[in-house]
Amino acid sequence: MAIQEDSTAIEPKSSNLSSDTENIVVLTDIHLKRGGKPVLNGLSMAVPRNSVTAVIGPSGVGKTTLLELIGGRLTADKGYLLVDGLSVPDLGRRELFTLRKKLGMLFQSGALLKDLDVYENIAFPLREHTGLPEAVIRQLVLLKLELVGLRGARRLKPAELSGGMTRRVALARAIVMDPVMVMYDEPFTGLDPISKAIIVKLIRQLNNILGMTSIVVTHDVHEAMQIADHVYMLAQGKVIASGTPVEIQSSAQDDVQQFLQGQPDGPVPFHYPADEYYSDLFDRTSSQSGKL
Amino acid sequence: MINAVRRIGSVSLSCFAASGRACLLFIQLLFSLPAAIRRYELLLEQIYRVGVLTLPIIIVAALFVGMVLALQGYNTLVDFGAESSLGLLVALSLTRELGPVLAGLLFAGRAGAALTAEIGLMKATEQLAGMEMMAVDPVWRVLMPRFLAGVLSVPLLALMFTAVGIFGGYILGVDVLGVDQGVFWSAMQQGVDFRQDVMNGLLKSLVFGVLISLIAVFMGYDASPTPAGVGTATTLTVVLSSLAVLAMDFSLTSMMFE
Repeated sequence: MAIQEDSTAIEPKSSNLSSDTENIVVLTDIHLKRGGKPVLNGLSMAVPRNSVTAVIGPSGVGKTTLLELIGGRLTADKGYLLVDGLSVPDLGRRELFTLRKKLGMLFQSGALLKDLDVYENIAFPLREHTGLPEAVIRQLVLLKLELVGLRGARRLKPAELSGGMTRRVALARAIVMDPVMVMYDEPFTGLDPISKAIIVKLIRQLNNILGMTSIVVTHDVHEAMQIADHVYMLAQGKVIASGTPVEIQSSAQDDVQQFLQGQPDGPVPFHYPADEYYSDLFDRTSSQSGKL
Repeated sequence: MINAVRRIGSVSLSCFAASGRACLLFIQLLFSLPAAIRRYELLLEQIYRVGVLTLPIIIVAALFVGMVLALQGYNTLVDFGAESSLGLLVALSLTRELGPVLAGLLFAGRAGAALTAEIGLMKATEQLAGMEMMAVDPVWRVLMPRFLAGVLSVPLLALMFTAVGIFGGYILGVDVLGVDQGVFWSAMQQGVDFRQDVMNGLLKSLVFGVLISLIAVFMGYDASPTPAGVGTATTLTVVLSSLAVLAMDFSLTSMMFE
């Protein structure tokens, strides 16, 4: 896939809103404002099935908002959003909940239920949505715990888990209903190198073993490039580049290179927009009144 | 001046908006009633947490209130030679007013605040968002059992408050101040009307239960997901619940005991 350098050039595999067999998620010209400020500004992208798609970009660029839109927790002001062939903004509450049963989500905090232990946290969706007998629930929970390597930690409470273990438990819970797609919100943030490597390995392995689709939202470039089949880079509320990890890394765009190489100044300025420094510093009216 | 008017307008609008959201939540709660009844084990757990665990504070407070009532009542009645009405005075005060109101206020301070803090913290730690993404509606799974437990617990706590209060009044009036035991109970038996006094008191406490529980779950659910936001919501629960109980008590009393 050739690198796309302009969001308007990105076209989903199907612009037809009826169905799309190749892409599980299709976003077209999404606009969203929060608190009067534009967060997403004409964002278009498509997520192919059975792949790992990474969405990278600086903090505050709208990556988590994107996941909230896909999960139906937010509604865009304008644009089209299809998930598994369904237009999410048009779904009723019951249909939305039916769709969510097919999706998994890993929150940055893990979002584990604090008064339940590891085992009960993973069994929670099964108990709520299935009438499975306890013996079957036990087997399913232990199976998922074995996949994330925490079968021995099943009786620990969330407060007793490290950051990495919390993510792994949350991951086991996210996949316990065998979803068609899992969304990862900043899965590597705040983890030590070993935990990061474990999560990287798990995301890739689970995607392959379970044959699902993964969307990984992150600003950890190294890890994203390691696991992704396809990468979207966001800035100013839209896609500024997309392609395979190799294509993104070889991009000649200044804003892409600034982010990849972690340069403090560039197209994304070091200074937050403000008045001219000296006039601000020696503004007599404000100095005398003490106003900021 | 303009700024002050603007601020008043802004505060008023946000109050109206919050009231609207609370009404919508109440409707959602009513619709999830059948589901909550089906999952009665969640309800029982919450009745234990908000009702049974509030019982010690209710019993201790009721005992003292009953004794104070008896002491104050005796000191006044004895001047008129009417100490035989002490039982009636204690019973009427507790069944009509003090039982429902004080049980409501104590429930708001102990269980209402705890409910708000718990739900607010669940929101701040993304547990509610996590549930939503697991296709589990937090309104019926988290809020409804807590709301219903509060609604059912407050009348029972008010009854317990009244009973223990009367017992406190009996201990002080009969055992300490020397009022005749038979007179104490017979005055109560003759003067207290079951429908007019006991049932109306129970109805009051049911209304207080709805109000306090709705305020508590709404404040938690609507809280800003920050430590300061949860703290503010918890304080507001206690303040608003207490004011709502007192205001509603006046309205109900004026309707019930004309």
